[in-house]
Amino acid sequence: MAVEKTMEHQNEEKKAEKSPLEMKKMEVAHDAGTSGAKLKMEAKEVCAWFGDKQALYSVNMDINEKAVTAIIGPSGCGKSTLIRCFNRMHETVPGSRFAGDIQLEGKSIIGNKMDPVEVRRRVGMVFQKPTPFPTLSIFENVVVGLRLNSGIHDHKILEQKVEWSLRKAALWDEVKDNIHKPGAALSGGQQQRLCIARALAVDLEVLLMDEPCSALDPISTSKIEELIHELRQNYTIIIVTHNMQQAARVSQKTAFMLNGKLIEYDNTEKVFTNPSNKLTEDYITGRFG
Amino acid sequence: MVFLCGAASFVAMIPLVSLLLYVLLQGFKRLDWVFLTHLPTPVGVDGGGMGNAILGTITLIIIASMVGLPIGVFAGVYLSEYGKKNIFAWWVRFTADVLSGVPSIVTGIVAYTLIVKTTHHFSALAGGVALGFMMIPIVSRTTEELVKLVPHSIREASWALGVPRWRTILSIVIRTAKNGILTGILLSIARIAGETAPLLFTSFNNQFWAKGINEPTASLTVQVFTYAISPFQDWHDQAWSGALALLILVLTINLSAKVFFKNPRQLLR
Repeated sequence: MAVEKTMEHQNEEKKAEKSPLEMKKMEVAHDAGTSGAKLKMEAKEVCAWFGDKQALYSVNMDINEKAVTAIIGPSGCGKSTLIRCFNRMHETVPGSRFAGDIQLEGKSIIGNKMDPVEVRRRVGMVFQKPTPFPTLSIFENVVVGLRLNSGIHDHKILEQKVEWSLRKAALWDEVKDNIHKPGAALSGGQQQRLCIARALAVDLEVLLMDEPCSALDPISTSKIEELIHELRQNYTIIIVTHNMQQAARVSQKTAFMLNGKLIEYDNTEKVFTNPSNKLTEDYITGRFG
Repeated sequence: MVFLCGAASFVAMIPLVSLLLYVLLQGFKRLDWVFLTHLPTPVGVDGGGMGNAILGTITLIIIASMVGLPIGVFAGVYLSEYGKKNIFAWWVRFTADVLSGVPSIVTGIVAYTLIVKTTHHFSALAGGVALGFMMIPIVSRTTEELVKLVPHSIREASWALGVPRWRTILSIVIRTAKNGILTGILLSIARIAGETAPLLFTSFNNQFWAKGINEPTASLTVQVFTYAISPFQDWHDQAWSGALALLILVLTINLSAKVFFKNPRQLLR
């Protein structure tokens, strides 16, 4: 009994060592179990090729609504390829091939009947390297999707949308006085948040993030992770990362991929503390990758 | 080695500098407001000028741009966006290369056959079209190179927002490469402003203001040519001034392209 109590005490001490914010993050991240959660997207038997080289082998994955799903794995395992299938960016690569099905809210988004442009307006993407459009101002960058897709030119509506998107992306306070300065004049972290604001402005439902923090410094990274926490309440997020701690911090479910195959896919807590597959365990403990 | 290169550069510059100085000295005397705005007068009569020739050159440049720019820019965009590996693009590039090597007088003959013979008179339209043909390969090459420089990540970011490919090209890619494309356009204009041969039997010449583009038009280059081979000293002096005016025009265009659009990296801002 005494031993147990000591261990509890030790655990509590350990917990207390972490900052309150981190504690809250961990609680929130781990509380969303999968029971009763709605499915937003499903990948069924997804295979992908680049020319003759197969990159994905029959991947099956369910993505829950309003949750963060992380995909981890060593370089070249197919994480980026998989995430790019979700918004049909894979087919933009010359020589690429795709097989299988991907469904958004039960309806297939693959095939000639479905316009990829329509899909991408609901499923947006943020890339590894921040890419604000260089000749446009911050304001113009945020509304470019609205202007080009919906043809909205009313300045009042655009201004409201800009403020809303930048607030959602936690960038408003930093740029509100410089909103007509070029988008490329911001720092790396700010540029990435600008790209997120730009994606949010088109009212998407799913946000795909392909290693969004790889090119950023730790402070910007933590700001973006906080942002992901907030966005999760309204959007479904799929994040690819090769930073395992980041996956553990932000996601509710984690998928581990290796050589184009999905090895394990489960609640984040389980994957990181008690993985079912030995390969997962090897990767997590750093034996390879 | 350094000395050798320096000496070679110096020697290469001598003809250019001496040319500029000589034209400046010879042409400066007659280059005044009267010269720039008045019509030519008969030999020996004072107060003549090349006003109609200057206007004619400007008209020809505008017509040439209307022909050459759309074709050149869109060809350049096609080649870089859609034409990486297909055989049609290969032919387009090949044709553009051949076209840029065609002697200008041959281009003039083509325009003569196409327009002058069918309309039965010389016109600024024919001259403009001939010059436009010469602009196409220059503009197309420059546009292609510049659009290729736009990073692929910009295109992907635009596609990921749900912007269709054609719209991405028009609104994002071209806009990003805008500065470089403008430079290419300016340089092509500077090139055609100084052409004489294709105009000799297309826009011909005109001693008066042209009343429309369907009439023969005076142009600086042809006028300078006509005056220079004449036996009259007065006309020789005017020819020098015309040459100086032309030189100033071309140099201004070239320098402004250099000053405003400094280097290729900056061309993407």
